[in-house]
Amino acid sequence: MSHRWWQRQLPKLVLSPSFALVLFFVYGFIVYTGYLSFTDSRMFPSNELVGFANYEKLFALRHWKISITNLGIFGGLYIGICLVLGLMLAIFLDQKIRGEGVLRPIYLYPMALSFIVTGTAWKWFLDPGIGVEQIVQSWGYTDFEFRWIKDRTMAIYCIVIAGVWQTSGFVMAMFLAGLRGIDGEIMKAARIDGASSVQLYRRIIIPMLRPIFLSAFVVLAHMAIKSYDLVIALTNGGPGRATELPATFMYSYTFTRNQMGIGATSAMVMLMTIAAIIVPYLYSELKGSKKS
Amino acid sequence: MMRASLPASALRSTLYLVLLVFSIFYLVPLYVMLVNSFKELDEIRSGAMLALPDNFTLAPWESAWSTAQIGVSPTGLKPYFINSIAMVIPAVLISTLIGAMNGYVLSKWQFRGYRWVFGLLLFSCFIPFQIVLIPMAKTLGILGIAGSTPGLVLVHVVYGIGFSTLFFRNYYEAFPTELIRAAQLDGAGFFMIFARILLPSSGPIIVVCIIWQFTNIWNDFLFGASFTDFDSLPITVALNNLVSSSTGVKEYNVHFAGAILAALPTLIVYIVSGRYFVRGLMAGSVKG
Amino acid sequence: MSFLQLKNISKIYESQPVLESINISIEKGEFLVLVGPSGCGKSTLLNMIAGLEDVTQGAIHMDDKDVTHVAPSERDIAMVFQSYALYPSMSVRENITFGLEMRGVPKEERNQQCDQVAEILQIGHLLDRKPSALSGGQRQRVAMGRALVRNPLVFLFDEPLSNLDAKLRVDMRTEIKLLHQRLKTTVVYVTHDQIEAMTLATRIAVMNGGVIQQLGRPDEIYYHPRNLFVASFMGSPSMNLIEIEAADVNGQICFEIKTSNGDKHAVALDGYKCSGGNYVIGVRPEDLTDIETSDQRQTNTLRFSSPVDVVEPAGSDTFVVIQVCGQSVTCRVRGDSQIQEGGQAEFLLNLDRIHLFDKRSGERLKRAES
Repeated sequence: MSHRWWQRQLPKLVLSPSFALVLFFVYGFIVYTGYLSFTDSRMFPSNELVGFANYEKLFALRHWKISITNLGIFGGLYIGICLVLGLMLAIFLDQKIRGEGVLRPIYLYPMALSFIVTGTAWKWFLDPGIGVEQIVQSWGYTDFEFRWIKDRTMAIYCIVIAGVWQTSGFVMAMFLAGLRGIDGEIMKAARIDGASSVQLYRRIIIPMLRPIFLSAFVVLAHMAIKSYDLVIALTNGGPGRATELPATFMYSYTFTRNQMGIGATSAMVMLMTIAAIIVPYLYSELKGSKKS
Repeated sequence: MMRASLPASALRSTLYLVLLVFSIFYLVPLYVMLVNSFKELDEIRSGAMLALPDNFTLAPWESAWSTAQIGVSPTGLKPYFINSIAMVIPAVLISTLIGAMNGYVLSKWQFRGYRWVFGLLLFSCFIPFQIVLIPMAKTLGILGIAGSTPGLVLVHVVYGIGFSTLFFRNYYEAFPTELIRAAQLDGAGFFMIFARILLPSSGPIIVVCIIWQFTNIWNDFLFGASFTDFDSLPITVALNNLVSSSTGVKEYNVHFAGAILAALPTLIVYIVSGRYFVRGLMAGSVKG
Repeated sequence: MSFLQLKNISKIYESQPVLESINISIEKGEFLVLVGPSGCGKSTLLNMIAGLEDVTQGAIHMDDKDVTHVAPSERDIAMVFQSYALYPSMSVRENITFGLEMRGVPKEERNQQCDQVAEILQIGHLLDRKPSALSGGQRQRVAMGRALVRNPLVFLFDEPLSNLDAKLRVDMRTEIKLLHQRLKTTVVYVTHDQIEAMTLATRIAVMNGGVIQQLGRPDEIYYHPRNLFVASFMGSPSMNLIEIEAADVNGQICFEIKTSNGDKHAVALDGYKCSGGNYVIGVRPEDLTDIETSDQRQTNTLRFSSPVDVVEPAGSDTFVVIQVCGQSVTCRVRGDSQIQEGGQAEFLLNLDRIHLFDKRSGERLKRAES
């Protein structure tokens, strides 16, 4: 074993513990959970295989259908509003605003908070008795109502509000960095071409931000699918199960309702949804870095 | 650089107005929590969430810290705050160190299949953690560290490796390979190059990595709720217990004080580190 | 009547003067080059002509109209940028016609004009591509197309060739010159490359420190530089500048040329109205050759021998470095010269082409016959 041989193997050796850990704790676990999804596990893992029965059962469950619908509503609104709001704030902040150094941290600080803290703050804010409803009523608008959080159909929108509050600053930071990376000469060319500000943004700048839209979308989609802490803190899935999301569904079915097989199945479905978005994205990013 | 500026001054005033309205939107929840944490319960229940306290009191803070009912014990959040610290510090340090070495290898010592390794590590950042809950619980049990702080440390280290590797790898990519070749010609070996050439210039990314890991691990709830028992709960879980208890009188002021206590460390880190925090966010979004 | 007039333009940026008293009158069809080192103010001046930067003092007139405070898009100008500034998300055709679109020109007409311009620049086959799919030279042409299609009063170029590699730069230079001859447009062109300036310009403005050092035709700038700065900036290799001590003897300026082998040669120049003192002699490398290379018909020359320090063969010429008056001086000799480093050679200094500069002010002293 020459010294040179050792030097060549050293990088791989150094990397292998991490690689082994990740292989076991991530991919091994994924396989195990996948395996469980094909068993009839209840409170404890069982080894009795039942084929795709769990998957069939899962998609027939009312609770699961509610979770998916909610994910669609929540995810769509959360991602959409964050993108629009983030872009708008970034464009505004980019206009040589005095006090930008103060505003930016204000928009961004919610990202530093745990979702539990966010949920706590907004839970009381949205509470009819002492929150927004009460404040507006105290201003004299005694007919004002804002009971969404207690309303079965509207509660999910409260989660959207809290989620947007938390994450839009981050999206803004991404767009701001992108705006700042735009070549100043393009602006000059557009001025000479006679583009108005609106046209400048609509036709030139915003299309140039496409990669950022993509990155932000991927991150937001990922966060939306994983959303667990926020729901637990804000509504605990309620009222009833009105704000159930796949993440809360998985937890409750696995650990509270003793339906481990179904829980594992729901986790696999979550994984596959995320993979469908992330894998193509990662692939194109890594391929792109090969070129440069 | 020329920036496009919207024309008339009326438009500009609208700009400032909109920005101001949104800063209020972002600040109000924090303000509400802060202000109401210094009020007595009657004052809260009588309404006026936005008003400053009539009777300023620190009692809610005392309660939140040392006497509030968490689960079955009236210990306040203090022991759980300590749990979080005991859990976060080793987890952050270990995962940062591992990430640095991994990043070094993946950016400077490319072996066959290294892209696959990086890809697999990268993907591990994105998995929904629900997928590992069941097997992890089992594994921790087998290892004998279920329901304990070391167990939680292990969990966070394992799932933090992906991100910290990403940070360091992207950072080291910017160092020209010639630097390594020159050092090799000078006779430096694998570890020497890392310690004497790359590490000394790694200040910024170490800070970014620590901030990102600290924030994420401190703020974690799911793992904390799944893998600890009552003595080893981190503060996020304890806070949720405090706040979501369905019995008895809802002491909003104590809840708010507790929430701020739980948020303080990451908020302070954020305020102090500012730019580094943003860098972490950007690097973590894989925008290479 | 001049087409583009810059009257007493000054610019102060954050209390620092960037441009001072710039006065230029450009005729229609002229190709004016603003040349100078980085920071001399040439790009700022160009941006002010374009309307992208404000004028602190002074006025700009285009075609008899005062455009000093008019917006860029209203000035009837077009600009080609150093980084081309093509809109990345639009096709070449869309890039070229964007300005027309902003002016409300109908689609058919836009496309027609685009096709015309594309033919002139030979980019017709690229019209549907995006800028990222083009080479540097192709992008350059698209940038020019965008400017051409506007058919403006004045074309502005901001170091358009700096991002190209050397060979492409030379090719594009020729193309720009051909285009100018063919279309007879009025051009203001900024560059730091003095060769570009010499080859392209009908007139050159040499700038330094926010001030125009000299404004004139290329031959004027080259053969009659106004001061030391212009003399040393233009020409490659640059003009040799030798410090000497001269005396006024009978109306003639006399000084000595000392070579490194100890020889001293006396030189007398007449036509100068000045006293003795310290001066700077300027002589271009091509006016300091060896016996083999020289044109034997020249009469007013100084012949001397000198040891040779360095020989730099450059293909069509060879540059030889010798010592004169203790200072290194470059001579241009024939490409196939046999001169050896460390050897000796016979040199010829063309005294008709010597310049005399005042050491303190840097101004060139006028000679009676020149």
